[in-house]
Amino acid sequence: MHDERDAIRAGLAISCADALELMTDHLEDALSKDDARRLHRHLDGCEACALYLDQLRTTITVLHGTGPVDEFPVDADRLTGLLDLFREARGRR
Amino acid sequence: MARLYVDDATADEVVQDTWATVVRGIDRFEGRSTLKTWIYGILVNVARRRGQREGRTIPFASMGSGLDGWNGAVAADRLQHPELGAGYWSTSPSWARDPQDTTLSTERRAVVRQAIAALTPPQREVVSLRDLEGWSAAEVCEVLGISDTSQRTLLHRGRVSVRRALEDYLNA
Repeated sequence: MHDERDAIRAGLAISCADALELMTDHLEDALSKDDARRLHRHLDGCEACALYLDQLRTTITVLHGTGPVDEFPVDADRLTGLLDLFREARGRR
Repeated sequence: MARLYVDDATADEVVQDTWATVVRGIDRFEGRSTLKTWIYGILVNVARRRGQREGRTIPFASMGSGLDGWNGAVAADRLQHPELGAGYWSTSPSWARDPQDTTLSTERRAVVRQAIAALTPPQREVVSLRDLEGWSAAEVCEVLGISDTSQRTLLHRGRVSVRRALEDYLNA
């Protein structure tokens, strides 16, 4: 029983908990060679972690689709103030 | 972006102050960074100072690295396999609804925005710049003054939290 468990664990190279912590670095292409090898070996044998990685990719896609925090409407008075400042700054040169 | 640090009304002033600083200081721009990261660097400083003064945000530096207190990507009881033991999935992390379902898009956007708002300030800064504004890792490191490693850790924890919120929503 324990032999079988140890064999499966060894086949997965690292635990799921460890694999999860490597996923962003994997997506950022920032893993060391050794960690990349361990993660790939784990993902080959672990459907749940492969699914999680897909979900993380989907999350990023959803974030991209959420868009920037908001653009600002331009307030005419503020713009005039800035233009004055800009002219003043140019005058100094 | 200023709204990451201060309320809507103040954000307007932060942007104004930023441009004023940019105009006054353009002579000091040395071209070592791009103009974009230089201007945003000023914005971040102005906004952080303002947010601090208003007691709305805790400054980056005083949070330590902002990297403490991590409980893992998923709740510990999800990683409790009956045979393999702790650290291995008990059940697969499946989602009941399709996250790409367009009929959910308005609700889903609200869920994501709420999840971002609930992040720690350093995580929120990094996730917003990388994934909402579409900045590169190098730009984020430069503007926020953090290392590559910190940037990736904050990005990881932030994205993982957003994924979790999305999962709770899709499985609700």
